[in-house]
Amino acid sequence: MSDISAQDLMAAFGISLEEEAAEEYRGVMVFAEATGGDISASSLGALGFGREIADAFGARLEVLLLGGDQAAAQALIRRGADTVLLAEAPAAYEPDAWATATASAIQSHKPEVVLFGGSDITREMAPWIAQRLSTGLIAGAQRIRAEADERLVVGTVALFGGRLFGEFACPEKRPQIISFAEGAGHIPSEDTSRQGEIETLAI
Amino acid sequence: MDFTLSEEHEMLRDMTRKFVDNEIKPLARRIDEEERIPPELMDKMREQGFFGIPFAEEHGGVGAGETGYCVVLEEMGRGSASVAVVLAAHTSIGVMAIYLDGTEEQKRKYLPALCSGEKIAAFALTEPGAGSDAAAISTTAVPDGDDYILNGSKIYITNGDIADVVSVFAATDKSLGVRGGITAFIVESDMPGFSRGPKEKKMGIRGSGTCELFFKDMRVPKANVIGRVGLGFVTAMKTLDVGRLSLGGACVGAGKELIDLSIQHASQRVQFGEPIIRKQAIQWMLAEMAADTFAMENMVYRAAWMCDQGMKVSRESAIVKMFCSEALDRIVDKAVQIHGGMGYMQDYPIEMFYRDARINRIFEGTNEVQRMVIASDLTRKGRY
Amino acid sequence: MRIAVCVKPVPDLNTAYVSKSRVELVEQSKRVPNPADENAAEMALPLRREGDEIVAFTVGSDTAVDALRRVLAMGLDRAYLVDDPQAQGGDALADAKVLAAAINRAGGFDLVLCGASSFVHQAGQVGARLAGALNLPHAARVISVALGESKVGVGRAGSLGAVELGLPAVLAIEPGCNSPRLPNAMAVMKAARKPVEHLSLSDLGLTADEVGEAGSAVRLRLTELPEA
Repeated sequence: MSDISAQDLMAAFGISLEEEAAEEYRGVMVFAEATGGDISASSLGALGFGREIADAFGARLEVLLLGGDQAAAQALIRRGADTVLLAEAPAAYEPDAWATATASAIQSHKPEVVLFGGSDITREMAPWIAQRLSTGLIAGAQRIRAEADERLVVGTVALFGGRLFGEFACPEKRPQIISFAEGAGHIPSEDTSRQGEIETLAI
Repeated sequence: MDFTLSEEHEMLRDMTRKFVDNEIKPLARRIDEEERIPPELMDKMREQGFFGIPFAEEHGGVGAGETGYCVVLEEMGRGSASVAVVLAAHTSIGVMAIYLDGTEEQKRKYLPALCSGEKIAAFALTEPGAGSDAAAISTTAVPDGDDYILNGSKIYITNGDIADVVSVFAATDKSLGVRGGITAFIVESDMPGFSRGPKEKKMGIRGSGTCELFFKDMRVPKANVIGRVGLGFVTAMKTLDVGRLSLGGACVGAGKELIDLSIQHASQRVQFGEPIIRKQAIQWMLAEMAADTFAMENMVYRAAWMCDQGMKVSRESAIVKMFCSEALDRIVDKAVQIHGGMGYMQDYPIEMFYRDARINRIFEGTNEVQRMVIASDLTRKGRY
Repeated sequence: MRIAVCVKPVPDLNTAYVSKSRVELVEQSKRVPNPADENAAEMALPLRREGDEIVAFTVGSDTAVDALRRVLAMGLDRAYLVDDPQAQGGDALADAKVLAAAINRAGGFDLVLCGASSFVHQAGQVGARLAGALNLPHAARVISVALGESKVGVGRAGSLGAVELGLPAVLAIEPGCNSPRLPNAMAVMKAARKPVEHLSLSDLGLTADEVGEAGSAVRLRLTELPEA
């Protein structure tokens, strides 16, 4: 048994490296940007979508919070987060620091889905992160839905200025990253009884 | 057979189209009403290099050949016939005479400023008594030392009002008529004895200036003779052969534009419960306009190709000029009819296209002359 | 100084049309530069000083040459076209990899510019992805550029304001932030003679599974017309 390599084992069981890698990725992460206690509306919209996907997959919903404080973290839990990762990054947006912090959080937590609300900050950050992680980004989605059996998220994007709509998915590479069009998504209502964890994330 | 245009020619087309859309179409009505091309537009045209399109780069031209030039004129024809005519009279007859038959020294002296548009050219053949009958030219050129003295006048000269350099045809020996009696000269508008008459008020192409030119004891150096003394008529015919092609180019552009406008109008105009474009009467008019335009387009670019290959195009250019001018008249007439009352109103460009088109059957050699040229070629060859 | 401008060839909407009954864009063979990439070229041109070179990069088939000739006519000096069939049909991830490889191969660029988004898909990725692939700082939605010796100051549209980046850097240029110049007839004729070098995967040191459809992460599953 000990002479059989991991690759042979996987081949014997018909598991590809990519699939095996895919199985390492679990959970839904939502990126949230805040100024102190004020969470951006786009982040809350993404949180709404995130809760739907997490429920459909039966997975945990983590929110990576940059620029926000404890109050913001608690608000995120009330609005549906299971865990809030309070990143140790500059309080105001710095392109390099925030993008690196986010990419690093994704790499260590390995969510299968990452959602970004639509803002100037996420426009600048999300594709860079996706390239560093060598994965796909469905950018500017109007809405998403879960295909729970495949653990797949399908995003609907307006093309040619809205003359056409396309449905996109990222079937193999992980995480599946989706960013939303500005104003997409609904802000989830507050549930003061919700419990969750807040972790400080050192970068 | 590869009927596609080269990359450069396609790009020239695109660039000209954008220029016409942005700079010319918005001014077309004003050009017609004010009976001139605004100096700012002339300057922009200079910057774009429009005044030297067919001429070789070594002489300061753009080097796009006759084909590139027809492409540019086609696009100009979509926007303003007045602008197209000013450009054409300068390029394909005014400058062309010097380009085809001038000496190297004349080309060096005159072409760069003409190609850049810094100087504008005109072609002066027609006289009150000599229209189709070019042999009846009575402007005289009498040798005197190192010069010729020119006396006489020319009529209906396009760009006569603004030209700095004019290719003038004068009789050096009236008794010889067209065979040996006419000489071509490069005349500069600041030569003493040169004057211009008032601008004519015309039915159409009102933005192009048409006027008489007068030569009174005007001294022109012998060095300014184009081609050979006495063989000016050959120079005139050679030049007109090329010039007639480009007239066809402008007709193609006008034809396409009129079809597009007519389709747009007919698609919106609802009568008897549906857009009139669904009515067979309108559809048949559009179909005929398209057939005429396809025919014009193909003969223009085939003849332009022949010209760029160095082939003689006398008969073909006569056919192009004759056919395209008559086809365009059919097209503008249908366009007016499709537009109904709106086709008659100055709120819309259709009536301007209609008025502008009529001259095509008359200038650059009347269509009767073109028929003479074609027939004479056929009878000479004994077959097609 | 050397500036790279990435150009995406897109259908010419003046000659293409969307058929009402078919949910596909009826494609014409003619390709033009994505309008925002023309804004990028227009941003680059005034930055040029004596001896500088501005180079276009494109991934596409041979129809992409039409698009390249247009930016060459605007005044760019030369172009590289990755027309290896295996590189076609890639998503933003794959294309960024290919473009980055081509840029690295040509080497020595102080600035890399591209349009911030395409008119096909308005949520632009290429600029930021290129920065990730080239490991360079970047800014999105750039509307103005002030070039220094070792830094570049940029103004950005939207809420982000101005920022300074060290050179070399990648700038994603906001669509419509300037008026791309109309080349004159002389520039058009010259463009036909400017060098366009064709690059294959082996020129770039990439393998088939990294590029094109094979190297893509995101797949288009279906298209639909908007609800009436």
